[in-house]
Amino acid sequence: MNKYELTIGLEVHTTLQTKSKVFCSCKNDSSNEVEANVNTCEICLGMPGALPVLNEEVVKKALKVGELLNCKINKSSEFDRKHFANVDLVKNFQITQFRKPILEDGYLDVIMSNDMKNKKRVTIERVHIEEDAGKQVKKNNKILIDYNRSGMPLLEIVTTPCFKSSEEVRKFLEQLQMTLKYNEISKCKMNEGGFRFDVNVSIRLKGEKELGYGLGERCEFKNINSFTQCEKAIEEEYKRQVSIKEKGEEIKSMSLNWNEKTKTVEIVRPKEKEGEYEYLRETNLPMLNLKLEEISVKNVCDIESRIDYLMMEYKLSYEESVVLIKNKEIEKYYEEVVKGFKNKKEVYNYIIEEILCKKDKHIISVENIRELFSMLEKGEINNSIMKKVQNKVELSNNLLSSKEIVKMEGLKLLGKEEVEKIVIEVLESNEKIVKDYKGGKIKAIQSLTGKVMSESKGLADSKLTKNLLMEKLK
Amino acid sequence: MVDIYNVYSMLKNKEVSSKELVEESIKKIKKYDDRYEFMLATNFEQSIILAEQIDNRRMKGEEYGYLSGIPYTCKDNIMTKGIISTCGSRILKDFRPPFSGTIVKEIEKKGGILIGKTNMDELGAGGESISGFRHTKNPFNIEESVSGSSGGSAVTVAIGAVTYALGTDTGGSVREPAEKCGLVGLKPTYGSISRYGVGAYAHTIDQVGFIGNCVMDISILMEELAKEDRKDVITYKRDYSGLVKNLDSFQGKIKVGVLKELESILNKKELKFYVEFIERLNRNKNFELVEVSVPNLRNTASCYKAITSVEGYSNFKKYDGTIYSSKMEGENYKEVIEETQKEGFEERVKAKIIMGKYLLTDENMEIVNKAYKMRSKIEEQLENACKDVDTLILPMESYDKDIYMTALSNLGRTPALELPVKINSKNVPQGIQLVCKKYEDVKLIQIGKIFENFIDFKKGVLDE
Repeated sequence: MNKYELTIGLEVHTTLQTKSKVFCSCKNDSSNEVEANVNTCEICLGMPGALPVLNEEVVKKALKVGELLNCKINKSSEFDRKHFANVDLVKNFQITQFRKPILEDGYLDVIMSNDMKNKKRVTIERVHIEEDAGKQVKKNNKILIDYNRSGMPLLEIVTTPCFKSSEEVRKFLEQLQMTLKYNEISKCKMNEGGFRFDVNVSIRLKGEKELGYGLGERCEFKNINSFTQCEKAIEEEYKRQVSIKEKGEEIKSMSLNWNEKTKTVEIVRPKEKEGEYEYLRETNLPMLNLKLEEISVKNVCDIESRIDYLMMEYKLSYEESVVLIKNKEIEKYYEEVVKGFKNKKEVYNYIIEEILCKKDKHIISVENIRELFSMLEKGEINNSIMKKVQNKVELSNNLLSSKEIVKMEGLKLLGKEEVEKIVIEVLESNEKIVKDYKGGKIKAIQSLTGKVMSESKGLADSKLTKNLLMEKLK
Repeated sequence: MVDIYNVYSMLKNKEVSSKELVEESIKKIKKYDDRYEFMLATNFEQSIILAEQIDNRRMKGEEYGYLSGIPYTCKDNIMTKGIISTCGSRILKDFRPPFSGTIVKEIEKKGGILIGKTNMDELGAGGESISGFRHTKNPFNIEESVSGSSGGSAVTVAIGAVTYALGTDTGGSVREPAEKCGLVGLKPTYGSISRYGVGAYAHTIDQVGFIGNCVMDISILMEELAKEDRKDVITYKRDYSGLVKNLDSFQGKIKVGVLKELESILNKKELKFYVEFIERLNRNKNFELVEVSVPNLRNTASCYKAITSVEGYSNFKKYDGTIYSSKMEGENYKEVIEETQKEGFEERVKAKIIMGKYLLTDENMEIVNKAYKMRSKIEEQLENACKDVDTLILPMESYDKDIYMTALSNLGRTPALELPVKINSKNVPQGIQLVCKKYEDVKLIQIGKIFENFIDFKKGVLDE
């Protein structure tokens, strides 16, 4: 079966994270919590006489992408009208950049293995600015349209057909998503269509390339918004194309749909050619001429070097670094907390376990948790006390400091001498258990430990207690 | 009602009130509207309320500008908040826009009173002032065309219901009906007045313009209303202050350019008055005639047709009934759109859409590209022709299918001013147009004033 070679190309649409929409001042928010058609005006509804004005923030975000995807920045680009009739498209055309996109010829080095040694260079053909259409909502056999999404800024990132497997596609998409989110270019909310992709799949016989043949006829999935579905769809489409070829038939260029319920490829219609989109220059927007100082926006962070840094600096694994990158606030928090502590991994583990899950609630301040870690390092408290204090600090909204709570509630671990005193007392008043132990009932030591712990109100370190008991019972 | 400056002075001297002006305006509209069919939506009640408010404030001694308290009318393709704005098309018959065009807002700010919306060719595409609702007649001879597309606006000025009216000019739509009504019409430089809120026909050449009784009024309107608008990025910044005060400040002999390419058509009997007028100029020592050239003049009609078809298609096709216009029933979107547009559009607009769609296909894209290239060429040639003269003088019509006389300045983005010259045997006024270089609207108006004095046009009598 392996005589065929799979080729995949992607068009990724991502909603830019800006205050307002791309051509009007409406709020750029179409999330499901927002009432339908609230964030609309004459411009994004395409009313007669409404004219577009380009949002500068969109250009800034696009330039950041240019930096991150190593693109050539076109100092002047322009906008076009792409005509097609769709019920959710208010103007009968979409404003996009067809002839001259803002960015061209870039690449992203995609990390393929956790040791960072294996990388795949994905080449980017072009990146351009465009507007989104309204969102169709099916209700009681009717199609309703929410125009909150109409006119939201999109970046379309088009790769060359450079992928050879669904795994490469998945890794690229994951890294791209991380990159966009980490740099606050896009929230990439996949369930709201904020990060969706068209996937072009073609096959050819191995060796055809060497003979100078081009790629096979491609079929395209539109608007996939899940990595798993994307992977599955590519695999199924590969099988479908191979079976057509095996029958000796030709593959026809088709628009496809992935049916997630039946896990099958559905054929929608023959694929449109570019010419059918009736492109016309959008002269209501002038040429987008960039000034030199605009182009030289740095201030971006590529994921590859960020992961590298986290692994080196904090001795974290690849996966641990990725967890931090995907949770930028926690990453920042971690970096502030960990300063100066020797056991960086312990701090990481504690934060991932105890802080990450509280994302949206009030969390313990950097200062307060640093106090706790330093007490922990000195052996003044243990892990369970730490959690208890953290809880109380959070309840007080950080009005009480960790130190104050430890002091007020007397939560400091007892010193060796104090524990020893309690141990002796417990041994004296539990002669029967001591006898059992000495008689060979080794488990009895647990009961004694428990009594010391309760006597000390949990402030005796359990390890220390056990050691002392063993010593006295010899 | 006479001209803006006179009315302004009368208001200032409290010889008349705004309310009286509005009432007179309403009376005249009611008197003539059945016969000439020039209005669409009216705003009578609001106008009276607004006039009373302005009168009250004026009584308290507040100072006001030229346009304050004076009624005007507005072509129906300029959006007016809360007042039905159909662009002359049944497809928008119920559309009350939630916003006003920038020009309407500007006039509102200056205290102008919107009496109503005027009839026009559907979506601006045409030259007969036939909308999906009414057919505007020439008030000087109802058997003759008033032309268009801003015919309704021109008639409201002609009958004296208002002193001035707003129109839009894509290929002559302000100047042509102004001519046929014996009025002055200005299409300013492309981008001098915001197109925000103007239902687009061919957006690369659409321009808001003014229809008034005299050049003085046109100068007032430009000074008050032409300005940069950040909502229309093609507008530009220019200072028109002092235009009214300096209206008579053009000095010396006027170098008048005459197009060489017109020679072949000047023997036509319809252009006899134009030839006579040129001769009259030639005899006068204040004018010097110079021959200039726009070599591609014969391409104006085809170039205009291609551009307006393609852009018209792009701008009209969105009226599909989904959001704000009335919708027909259908099984699916395709059916709804088809039925809605079949019912809502007149034949002329349908033809534009079909032609535009046809031109935008892959095979024909070359024609479109050629048309835009030709447009740039014509723009450059017209700029050159204007370079060494103070103004060009052109007839309003060529009576030749290849030469689109008024569209020349739309394709070239230059300002053009139409002035009435005489009344023909059918009692219909005839005029000429003056054209200056881009951005030289001030000079054009100043020269226009000299021409106006020279012509000394006498108004005709209405066909009542």
